[in-house]
Amino acid sequence: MNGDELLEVENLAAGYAGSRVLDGVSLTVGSGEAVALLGRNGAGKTTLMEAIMGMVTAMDGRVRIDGKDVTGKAPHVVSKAGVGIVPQGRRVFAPLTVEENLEIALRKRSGEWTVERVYDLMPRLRERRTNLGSQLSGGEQQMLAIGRALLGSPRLMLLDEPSDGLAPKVVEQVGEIILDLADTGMAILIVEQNLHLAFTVSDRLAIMRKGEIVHESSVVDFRRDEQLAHSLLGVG
Amino acid sequence: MLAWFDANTATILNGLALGAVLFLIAVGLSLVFGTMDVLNLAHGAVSLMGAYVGVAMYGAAPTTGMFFLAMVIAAVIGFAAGGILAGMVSPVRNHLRQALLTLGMALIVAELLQEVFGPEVRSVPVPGFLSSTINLMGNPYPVYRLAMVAAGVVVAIALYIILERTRAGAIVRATVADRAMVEAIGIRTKVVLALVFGGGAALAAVGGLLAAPILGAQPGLDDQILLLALVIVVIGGLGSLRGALLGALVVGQVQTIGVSVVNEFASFLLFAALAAVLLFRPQGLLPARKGAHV
Repeated sequence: MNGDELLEVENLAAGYAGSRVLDGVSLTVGSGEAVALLGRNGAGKTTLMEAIMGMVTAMDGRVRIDGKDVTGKAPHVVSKAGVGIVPQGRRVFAPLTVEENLEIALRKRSGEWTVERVYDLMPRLRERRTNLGSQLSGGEQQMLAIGRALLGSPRLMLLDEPSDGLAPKVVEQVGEIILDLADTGMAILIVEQNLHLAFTVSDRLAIMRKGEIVHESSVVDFRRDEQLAHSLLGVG
Repeated sequence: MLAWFDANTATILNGLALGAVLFLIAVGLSLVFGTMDVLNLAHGAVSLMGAYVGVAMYGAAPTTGMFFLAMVIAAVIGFAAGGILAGMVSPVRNHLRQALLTLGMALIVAELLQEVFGPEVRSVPVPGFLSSTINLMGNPYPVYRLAMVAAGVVVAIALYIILERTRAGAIVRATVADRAMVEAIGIRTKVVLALVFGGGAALAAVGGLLAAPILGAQPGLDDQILLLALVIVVIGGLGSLRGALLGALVVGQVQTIGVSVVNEFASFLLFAALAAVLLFRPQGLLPARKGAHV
């Protein structure tokens, strides 16, 4: 582990009352690096994202952001340490307008991202600024969730199945937005069932099974070895 | 029908006045329930504290200045009480324990108030500048009750603007909808909740003070107020400003018209209305839908 790691997860155990979902997970994401987290449903990917964010309480192990220990800290502390999350199911604030969703997420101190810059990245949101979160299409909600996370000016973005429930064309759009972000040097940890999207965005991948990470490699190496891919993911 | 309205204008206005102060009291209970998921059973006791602020400060004939000073002091005391309750309740996750904790605080506060102010009914005078009457279709009607209605209208509009048109209000609405997600965008929701709790309790104390010239101040009034506020929250729907307003207006009218039309069934009518809402619209008339306005 060198000093460049933005996210360090060390032997993390976490879960919900009565069930331990993560069992000793270790994972790093370097600054500017994009890592895909793959695995079947129930492997613990979402729980790992939520445990990093502090939305699920860690039972054991450590989470560090840029060397700062945030294990067991409340999500607002983790957020201020430089982590943004686009959660599973998007969870936009339905009773708020698009603009309100973005405004309450704006952290004044950092100032790197502004509501205007989010609108420039995703002009569709500007068109829909007075609509309620509940009135948006799935793709628009996904953009809003990404914009909301960006307004914390995070250095690490956690994306949990951004393509979920979106039409192929919209997946492409969202993929381009994520690529734009990766190009800005933002570190990304992405959970994604859509392997094309995951591989396009990521430098490296980690595969989870039953609450553990069972394989890590670069995307390039992984794609070269079809047999390995098949045995780990059940796909080609 | 029109003749009935003519004959009963005063009754309807009385119902509006009662509904207005009940709105002030109930809206905090409803918003705290909606944002914190905490049923604050000390809400009635906080309101009674406001009534006793009137007892302590008004004297026989309160001046205008004293009236407004009492309102500020009731608001400050209510805000502090709400903040303390929020701090006590926030580490307690279990609903039953939260209810027992706030009920315990309510009993302690009620007992202390009785120690200080005695067990008898203390009447609270109407402040001088509001003590006159106006001519209402040939009959005198007290200005103070119209002022209660006005206070309710002002607070309802102010709360609407704060909740719907400001960033702070948007944060409160977001917290009602998805508290964990609000945390995840870097907002300390404990602070949001303490402020909502404090603001709601401040309104309850001011409502208690404003109602005191009509309802008086006495031990046991806290329970009656709490019960009415709970009925309002159930009828109107949880966590919703419009719901609390509608519920308070319904309860105010049912209470006063009920007494004037079918006196012997009046108390029954209130719970009949409650039962009807629970049967046909258990979420309340205007609940805070997770996908709409507060």
